[in-house]
Amino acid sequence: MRDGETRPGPVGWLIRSATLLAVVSVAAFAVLHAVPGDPVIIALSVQNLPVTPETVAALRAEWGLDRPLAAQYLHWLTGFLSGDWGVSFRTTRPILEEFGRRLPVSMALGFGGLALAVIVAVPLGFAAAARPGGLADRLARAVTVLTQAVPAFWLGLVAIWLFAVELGILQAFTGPLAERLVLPILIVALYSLGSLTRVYRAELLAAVETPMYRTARAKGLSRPEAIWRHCHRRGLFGLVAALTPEFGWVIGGTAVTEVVFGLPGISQFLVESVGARDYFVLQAYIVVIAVWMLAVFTVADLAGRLLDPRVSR
Amino acid sequence: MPFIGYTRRSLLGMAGALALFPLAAGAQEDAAPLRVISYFAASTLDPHPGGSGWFLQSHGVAETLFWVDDDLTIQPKLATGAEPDGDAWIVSLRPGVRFSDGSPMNAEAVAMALTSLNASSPRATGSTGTITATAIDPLRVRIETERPVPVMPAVLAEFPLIMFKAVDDTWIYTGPYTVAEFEPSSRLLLEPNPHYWGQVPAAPVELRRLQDPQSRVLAVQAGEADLSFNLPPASLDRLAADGLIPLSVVTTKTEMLFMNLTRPPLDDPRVRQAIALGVDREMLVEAVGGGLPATSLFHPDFDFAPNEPLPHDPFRAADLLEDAGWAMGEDGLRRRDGEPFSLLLRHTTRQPDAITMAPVLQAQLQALGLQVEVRGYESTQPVLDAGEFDLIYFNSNTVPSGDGAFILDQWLRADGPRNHFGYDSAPFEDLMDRLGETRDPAARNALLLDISALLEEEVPVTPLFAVEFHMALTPQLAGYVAHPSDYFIVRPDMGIVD
Amino acid sequence: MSGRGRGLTALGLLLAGLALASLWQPQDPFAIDLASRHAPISPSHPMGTDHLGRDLLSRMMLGAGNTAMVIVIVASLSFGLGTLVGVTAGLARGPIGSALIRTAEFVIAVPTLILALTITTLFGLSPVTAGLALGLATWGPYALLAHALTLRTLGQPHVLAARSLGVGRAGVAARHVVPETTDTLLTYLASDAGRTVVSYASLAFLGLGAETSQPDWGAMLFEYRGYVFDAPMLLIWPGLAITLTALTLNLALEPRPGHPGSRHRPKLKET
Repeated sequence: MRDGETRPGPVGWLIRSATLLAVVSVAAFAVLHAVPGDPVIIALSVQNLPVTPETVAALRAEWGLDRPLAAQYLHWLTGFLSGDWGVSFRTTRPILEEFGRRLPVSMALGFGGLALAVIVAVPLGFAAAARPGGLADRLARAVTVLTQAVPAFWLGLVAIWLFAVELGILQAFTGPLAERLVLPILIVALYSLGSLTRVYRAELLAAVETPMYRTARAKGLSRPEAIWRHCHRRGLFGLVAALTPEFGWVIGGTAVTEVVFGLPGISQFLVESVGARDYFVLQAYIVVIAVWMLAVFTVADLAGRLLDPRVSR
Repeated sequence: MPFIGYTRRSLLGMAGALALFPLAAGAQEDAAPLRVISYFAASTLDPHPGGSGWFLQSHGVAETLFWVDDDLTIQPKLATGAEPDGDAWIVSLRPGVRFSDGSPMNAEAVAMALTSLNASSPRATGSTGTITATAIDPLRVRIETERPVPVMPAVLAEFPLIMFKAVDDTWIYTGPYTVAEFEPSSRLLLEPNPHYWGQVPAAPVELRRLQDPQSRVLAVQAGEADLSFNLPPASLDRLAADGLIPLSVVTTKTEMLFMNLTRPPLDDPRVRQAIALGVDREMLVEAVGGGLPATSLFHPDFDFAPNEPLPHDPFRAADLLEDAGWAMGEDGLRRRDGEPFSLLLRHTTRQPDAITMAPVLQAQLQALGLQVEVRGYESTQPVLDAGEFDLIYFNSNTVPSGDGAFILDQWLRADGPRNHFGYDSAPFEDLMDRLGETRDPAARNALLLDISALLEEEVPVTPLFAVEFHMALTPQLAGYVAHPSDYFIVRPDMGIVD
Repeated sequence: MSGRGRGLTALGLLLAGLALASLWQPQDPFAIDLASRHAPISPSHPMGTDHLGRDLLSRMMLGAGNTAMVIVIVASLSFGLGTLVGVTAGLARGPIGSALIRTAEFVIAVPTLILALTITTLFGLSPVTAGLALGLATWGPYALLAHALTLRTLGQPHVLAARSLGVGRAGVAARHVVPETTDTLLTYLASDAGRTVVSYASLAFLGLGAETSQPDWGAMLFEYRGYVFDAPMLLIWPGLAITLTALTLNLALEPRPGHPGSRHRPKLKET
């Protein structure tokens, strides 16, 4: 919240969330109408169906595009809320089913990767803050730069080659899902590690400037001890703030890894849908990501409050 | 480090050999599945959506009444023959064919399947219009079509027309395998179908989809696949060195360069001929790492395809362009009335080969003095529908059902559903009309050869090369015969060692 | 020269260098020569040749300019738009401010790749459209950062004093907010430059092929991605170039420890 404003209670949250979802639903609905070109013709083309005045008119009627906008929106909304998210042009399967089947895979990948990244980022960031310019600091920076220049597909392919082909210790494609997720999770973690470490470190170092820290040092605590006692919370707070947007990433951002490792996730499905102009999928995605991020921001908010009840966000 | 890989592989090899003992004795249930990696996997088991026929046949699950065999001849499969009956046809069915639940595939079932597919899948009716199928006795079906059909077996070999039966809320088929486990677009576990009318397969097959070509290479290298399909040619030597068997097959897919005749200067046939002559097909094949320079739209092994590769003659091309008024400037570009000759070349970005070819084609056309702007796209069909191209190249199976007329009807007939090129030629229409009325195979071949010759003059499209697919196999599958397409990847005789 | 000044000079020199390299190359970067494909390093081909026999060094040099262009476009757009939205939100407060921040949060939430891919699907992929797409997809963090910094600045004693003296919001913006926020924002801008190019390669890898007629290092990573194992140098050279560029920018404009606002780091990553 902004400085000086009080935090909204549950009622405020409810109102804000409802407003957000309403806006998002309109945006999602509008996708069909914001597309350059006629979406009906594109849908027919992409499915290799004949584009004739009859087929176009038939599909238009089926989609209800000849009704007034408000009626269309209500129709779409009620359908959506009752679980009818439409059918994918490409796979001919119900979109709700696709999401239901694929989302867990991407979640496992995303969460696993982020969890691993956090587990490594905290000690690494701490060590980097405790000794600026030291080994940990340089390691953190090296990871950041490395992941900036190395595309994920390259790293993925090389990792498979190393562990599945040369060393033969992993089944990257045909093993049980848990085994297949090992390398992808490592890669996802690696790509998040750099920035998470740096944020945590930066927050710790920011806290080093505070009087509380200086007092602790003056009392005779070593640098690491002092950081642990007094800067830790602020570091975690910053970490949570940095982690929050990462979670949105789980639905859609893991596409490259999913393609390389052949994981049937939602990100790869989304990317293919974008390319294939599968608009119903995009509509569903917009709503899903909004709901998801709402949940994430709420949880992050609560976590923030737990960590530091005094600080306004 | 490679030692560990070898050990694993040799262990796998031994395991494979050991597995074959009980197989030879006829016990199939315990066989380890053969693992196939492909670049596509069925997203649904419903036969009605447009691509299902292709998926399900390729996975060895479904079959059509006729098919195009490994030698590119139309052969009976679920049918035994087809006889004309006036404008209609009587198709005789193979006796003893059963669906995977044991129920017989009779004329009634066939008629129902044909009618159902025809109604829902416009692609299946591309050449015939509405199909009316009636069972006249348990093993014979009478088929009437809206448009007269000269070669019914070719129509019935079209991939959407698979035989199926709807049971409860699912569908069953007649193919050598049944789907035991199904993860849409991702993985299938195919069990041998005990009711199969032909040779029941020796082992189950586990098919997975891997989208990235490099991943497909790694999969077979890591010993996680017995057959990995559609690999980049650059990887084959590496795989051979690892003890795998590389296999390449020239398919009936042809890479073609279509022209937009509605956009000048492509409305001038001399210009189109010049482009066709200026393209160096051998060089394209070399750049892409495989393929056969085209002799026509069709695979050269077909009886109705000419044998001589299309000529590459940049000098004649230059003459033609000069005749058409395009003079070469000092900067190497041709101009007419001060206007430079510029073209928009479009191509798909979904295939690595298409991307490799782009700069090569561009350079070849620029050598003729033509300024070429290259722009890729995600999806072919919208670009075609919108006509946003001067030149566009992509590949397609030009003889999906064994008969040359199919693609000509679809793409080049003036009223063809996929004629996005503005091609409307009286001589062509005339030849096509005659083709539509000719049933004698020799006469049809002669007509098709004439048509190919005409197309060389009128050039609405210039064929580039026949596309080659590459795959790698473990020694266990040494006897695998690849069909010249991607229509039959999972085959009933897989894993049987002679 | 101040540390910031030195850093910006280094940045300027780097981008100028990249642009200059694209103006002259030792060989024609488009000259296809199938007879010398995958040629090893030699005096005439200091980096060897690619799968079509084209001189890799020349392509790298030509690509340098386009790479710089992608970086500049993404940077300007995400920085400019983000700052504009963030500062405005901070000055405006109330529902407008809230709405702007929500929008920024939403843009952050949607994975960069999906947004960028959607835009490039509609307009085709070239260095310019990729720059626009990536820029439009990544301004969110800049907006949040600018917003936080704006509020912090507004709370400073000297600004409060100025306000109480009657200086309008626009004046405050110009004289205090912008100078004090630009600093930090520029820092994060430069440090993410390398990721931009790699994001571009990811965009292309996922199916929107880059235009090979206008090579840049990201597009080259895409074009050569099939040769990871068969001709690894084709990927290593562009990768190395990107690393060095990212490193230079990173070191040149490193955020000083404890600098306010180091909490929000703009994200430009996809895996």
